[in-house]
Amino acid sequence: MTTWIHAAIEAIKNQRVEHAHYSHAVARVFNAVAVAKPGEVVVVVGPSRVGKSSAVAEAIRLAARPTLEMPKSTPTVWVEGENASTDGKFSTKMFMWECCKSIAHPIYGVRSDDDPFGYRLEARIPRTTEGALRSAFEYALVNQSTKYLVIDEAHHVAYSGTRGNSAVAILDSWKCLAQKTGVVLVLVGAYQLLDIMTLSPHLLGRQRPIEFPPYYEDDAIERRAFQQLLKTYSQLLRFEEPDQSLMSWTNYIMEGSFGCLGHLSLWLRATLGELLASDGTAFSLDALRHSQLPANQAHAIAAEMQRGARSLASALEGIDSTPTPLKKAGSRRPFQRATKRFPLDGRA
Amino acid sequence: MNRLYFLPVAGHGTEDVEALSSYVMRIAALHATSISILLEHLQPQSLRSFRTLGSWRGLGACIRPKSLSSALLGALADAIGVEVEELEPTTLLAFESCPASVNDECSANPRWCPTCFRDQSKAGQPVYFKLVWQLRQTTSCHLHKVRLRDRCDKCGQFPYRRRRMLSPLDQCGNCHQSMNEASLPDLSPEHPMDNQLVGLVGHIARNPGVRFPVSGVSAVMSNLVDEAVTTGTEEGLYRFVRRDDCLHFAETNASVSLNATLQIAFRLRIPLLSLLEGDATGTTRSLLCLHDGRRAALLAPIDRRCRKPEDERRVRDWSSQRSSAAERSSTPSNSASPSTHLGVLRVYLRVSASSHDLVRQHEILRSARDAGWHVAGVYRETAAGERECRPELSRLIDEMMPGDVAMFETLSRLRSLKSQEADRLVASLREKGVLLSVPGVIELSDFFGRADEISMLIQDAAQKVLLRVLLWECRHDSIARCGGRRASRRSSTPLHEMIVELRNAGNSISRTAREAQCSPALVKRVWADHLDG
Repeated sequence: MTTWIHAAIEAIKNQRVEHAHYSHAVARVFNAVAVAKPGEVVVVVGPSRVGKSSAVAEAIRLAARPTLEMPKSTPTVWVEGENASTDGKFSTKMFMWECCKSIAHPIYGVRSDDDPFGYRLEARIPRTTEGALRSAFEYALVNQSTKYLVIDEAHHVAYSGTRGNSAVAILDSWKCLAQKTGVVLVLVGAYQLLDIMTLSPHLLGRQRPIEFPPYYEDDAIERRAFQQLLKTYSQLLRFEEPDQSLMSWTNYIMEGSFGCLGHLSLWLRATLGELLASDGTAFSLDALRHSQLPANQAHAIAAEMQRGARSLASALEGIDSTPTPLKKAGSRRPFQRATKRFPLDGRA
Repeated sequence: MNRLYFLPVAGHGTEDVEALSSYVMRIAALHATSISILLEHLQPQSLRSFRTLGSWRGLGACIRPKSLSSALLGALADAIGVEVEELEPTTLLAFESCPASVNDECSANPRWCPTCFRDQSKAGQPVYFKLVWQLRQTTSCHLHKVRLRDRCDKCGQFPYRRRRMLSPLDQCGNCHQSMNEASLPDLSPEHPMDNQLVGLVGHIARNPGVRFPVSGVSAVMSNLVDEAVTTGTEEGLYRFVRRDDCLHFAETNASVSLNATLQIAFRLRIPLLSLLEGDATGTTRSLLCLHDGRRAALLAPIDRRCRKPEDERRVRDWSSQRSSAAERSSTPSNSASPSTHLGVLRVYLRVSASSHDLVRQHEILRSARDAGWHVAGVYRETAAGERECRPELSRLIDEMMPGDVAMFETLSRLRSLKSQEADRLVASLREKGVLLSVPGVIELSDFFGRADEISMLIQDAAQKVLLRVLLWECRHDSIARCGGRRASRRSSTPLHEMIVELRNAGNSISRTAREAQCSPALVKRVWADHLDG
């Protein structure tokens, strides 16, 4: 009886669902990348789990495919901006190492045959300076005639350093790297990326942000597009009533999945998992409610999306929404007491 | 193994081909890594053997025809994904099976021509070291006739000791100045064998995988000796190459250095390549023909040590035959030949900042060349005054060949030698049969190379006198230094008396120096002399 559930989980996991926003985002990114000159920057932002990375990957694949003029596909490098340093900080050196790994640098990126566990490679990195890793990456980019450099999860630069402007400095250095090596830099990240970029006028002048938005409830067209998406998923499921489908609960699902395909996919899979655990046989609204995100988490995600949408709108409408630095640089020396004005009455 | 990025060999297939040490350095820079990490990546299993190559000094050895060079070349070609033959012209592996050993003929430090560096930078080409520059026998750049450098002109230091990993090759690692400007005067002699070396490197570059035969030089020499014995003209041959050397080089497994091969090729007028390949039969035959009028054009310096009493008669016969042949010959080339090539000259100079000295040195070299001497080497000693160690003088003594002429700028350049050093110099001059020449004192141009008895007697007598004067000067100077009896160093000037008075009055050394307006060192010396009585 539960075989359809297993099949549905596998299908939801692996099936690439075409939908309106996705196709639109792919087209926009493809055109932006195609018209970009070497050294320019393309920024793709959107809420978490909306499908940015997939859309950019497809757009870049289309842009880099072989043509009659260029029989070989254009070399592309895809790097993930991982905050893998101590305490979840973003380390520029580790990022450069990731870059070298992505480009399969023969010295710093790939372990040799007689070093199967990569011990020697890992031992080499602490002895190598960040500048050397960066130079190695730059030489490799030029050597391989790389055209597109994609940095996914670029908003993780916000976790770098303790000073407020270090994230901006890193973005600027990436811009310089793109200019120096003649690649088109594609930054993919959450809305937070826009806030950081606002502090870097040099970078702003070289890019146009492309948004991959979620589906909004209050827009009739988007609502219909989302229903199409639900219809696709409904074909994989079995409901209690024959006339039931996911479209029956459109409002509830749009609200719970924030209009994002990634959230919807995860929610449906979680519900199917719960059905398996409770020996359920059919998909129902109760099962959906049972596996919904906790209210506080849902509220946090919604707030982040609203803040991002507001930031993007202000950026596009020209409103000065320059955020304050993430942390004010300290003006006092260590162990120096903060100045304090004592009230007149409190004096001894 | 992960493939390294490909980098074409600079100057591939030409005589300007790059040295392997330079190529390794550029490959390391392309991968933004150090040489040691690159070598570790290339051959981790035999890292111990590669460890010596981790620095530039060690890396200079990789062009030598050794198994280590072969291993490095194979590993590098494998890592880049090219054939070994493509990289092999960057080394001297062509000498792998040849006894003409070049291991000692490779410069320990990389050498370069600043003008070539400048041209490469201007043309936007990669800056690299040429293979031919790394041969010790190559004294100057064959393109610009500029003296090759192995130290920075600006700071005088070895430029690659503290070099940054990614800095260009034409930047000094100590003072970070560009090395593509010649700031010192270039007084490099134009050695005819430089072109032979350039041709040799060009041959290696154009024929990857070429190997010189084991018995190339010995085949030529044994042919020569056989012909000479058959025709009874050994003396003629021994005038060019000493008899002991002839017999030694004629052995099949004789070890012949590149330097010796060059000397043989120069003295016998055989192309170096032909000599190494053992194919100079035609040339040697004409050399042994005593009655050939062209022999006068091939006149080489006389090695007097090889002359034995029983050979005197044959030498006189040969001399008379040559003289009569020269008289009979009416062609201008024959009559002009002896003056166009008088002999091999090695000049010992003391480098000085004085422009007067430089002009004089220029003048000496020019007049020597005009007189018909072939200047085979210029040995410049820096700060030669009282210094015991004179590397250039030692090099001159080592490199002198029988029949050469050693020219010293003045005898004063040798006066401060210790008596033991002077004895050694004179002994080696006598042993090798090298003639001494001092411009303005003994000029050899007038009677050098003449085979008549009077000229030889004058030459011998002049040499004896000169060597005795040299020994006497050095000993006298040494005695004067030890005993303080030298007239020019007597401390009886008014200044010295004033210093003694001031010191007697109880003034300190520094105060005395201030009062007498001299250096504290002089005060100390004068006061010490006064106390010694």
